[in-house]
Amino acid sequence: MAETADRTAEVVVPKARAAAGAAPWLVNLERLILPAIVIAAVLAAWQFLPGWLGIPPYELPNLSGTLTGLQQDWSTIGTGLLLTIQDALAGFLLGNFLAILGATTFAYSRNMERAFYPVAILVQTIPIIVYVPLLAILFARVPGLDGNPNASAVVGVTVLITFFPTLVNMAVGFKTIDPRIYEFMVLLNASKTEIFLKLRFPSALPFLFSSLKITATLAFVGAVVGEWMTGSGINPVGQLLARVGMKSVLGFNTDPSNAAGVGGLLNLFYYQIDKPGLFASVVAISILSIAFFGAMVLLERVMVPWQQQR
Amino acid sequence: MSFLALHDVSYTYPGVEGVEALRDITFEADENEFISVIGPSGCGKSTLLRLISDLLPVSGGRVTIDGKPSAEARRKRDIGFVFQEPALMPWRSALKNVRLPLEVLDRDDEAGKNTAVGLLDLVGLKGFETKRPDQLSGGMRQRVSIARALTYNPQLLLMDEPFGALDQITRDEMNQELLGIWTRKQSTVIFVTHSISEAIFLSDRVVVLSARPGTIVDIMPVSLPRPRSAEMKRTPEFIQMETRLLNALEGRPQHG
Repeated sequence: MAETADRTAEVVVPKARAAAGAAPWLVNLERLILPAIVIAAVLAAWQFLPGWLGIPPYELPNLSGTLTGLQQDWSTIGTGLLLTIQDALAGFLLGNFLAILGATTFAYSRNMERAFYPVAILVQTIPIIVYVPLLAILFARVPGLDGNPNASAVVGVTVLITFFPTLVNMAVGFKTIDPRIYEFMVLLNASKTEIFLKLRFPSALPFLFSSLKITATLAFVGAVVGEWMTGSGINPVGQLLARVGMKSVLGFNTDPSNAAGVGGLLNLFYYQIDKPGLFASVVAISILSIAFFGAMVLLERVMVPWQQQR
Repeated sequence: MSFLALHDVSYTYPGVEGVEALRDITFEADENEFISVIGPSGCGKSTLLRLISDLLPVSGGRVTIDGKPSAEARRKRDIGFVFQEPALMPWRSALKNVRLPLEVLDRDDEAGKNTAVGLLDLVGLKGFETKRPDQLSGGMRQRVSIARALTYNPQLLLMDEPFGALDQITRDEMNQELLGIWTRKQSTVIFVTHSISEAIFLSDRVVVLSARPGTIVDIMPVSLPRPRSAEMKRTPEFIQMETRLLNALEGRPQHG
């Protein structure tokens, strides 16, 4: 019994809590309050500076003007957000899936890595915007994608932009293994697949999540750029909703005839000189992108609890 | 016939100017014998364990375990290994780390789980089964590592400075407990250390290696009775053995 008590004393107190000392809640409060103050200051400057500097609202909409714009253009912007989410999410999922698959292939075959890694870098060095028209032309010839090649190109470009960071991260992650554990697995005569599943893959999870956080925001870059050039986007969810009778949700059309993602709307509002609408679109897409990034941070906390920032 | 036999084992690191790490190492270990290997830093002690366990191929000579080549013993999972670092999987609980070898060996059934729980108890970690390595202290992590090496009952247990990173008090405590575990589990142990007193305290025999390239300069039998206790470290006998090992390490001629 006495021995067990001794051992209990050996348990390491989590460092974050230990560092907080007497008032751990204060540390958390600081982490919330400090960025909140900065954000509030920026929003206040946006609201009041244009007026003080004598810039008229039609030149530069302030915060309240932008919110009014969001309200007025909501039926258009709501549909745009619905499309952009789908473009970004489809590209994000497909791009990351393909990247993990590629990195797995590299982990199994050095020669595959030697052959295809330079190609991946080459594809990445070409400016991403170039791929939109190329993919649209290509997809017009691909059965299954030829129904709306422009929308497919939007997803395609999002796939391309999310693929590379995850490929690189996972290729490194699969190799960043504890050499002692690897020796131990060899000693146990473990197969290549066992070493992959039990050692390489879990070792790469922290790398995967740092990449998911990067690609979560990149996916929106890809989607908006694609939509901006093609004025198009995929909308299976909206079509499904419209089919089951929900033609309007939260005040916007789920499947309008001229559906455009937020990227397309930016173009539209720009040429219509609808500045409040333009600003409202930017704000809406930023919030969405931040929310998606935040979701990845939360997912990381749940999935990789052993790898918390120390 | 001895259980483990090394005959003229040599190792040269591959490369353009291959560094010779070990030269003509010959010694034998009986079944259930506890042998320590000491030597100056970089003399190839860790390399020696990797040659014995077939993690590295010998450049010359041969290693046999129970009369068979070491590669065969490795394939039969007859070799356990404890590293200087605990080398645990940070995403697994203590119990899941201990069960890892059983999973690889396809023996992770209910009986296997009980074995793992029993081993954690044996190394003094009852009640810590669900803790992750980052929630355990250095000493506790090394206990998990020892339990993991014992799950599949290896006949030969190789330990590479397992307590080198621990403080002196924890280290002495772990030495005592290791002897208890060894008495109960019975296996041949090759224990690499740079601590002279640790080597004497634990072992039946101590093998002394010279600086690179490592060659055997002395093999000293330890005459202390078992079970061993901390008080023995203050006996003239113990101090005499310490002096002999120190002289061997420093390359001085032996007295007497």
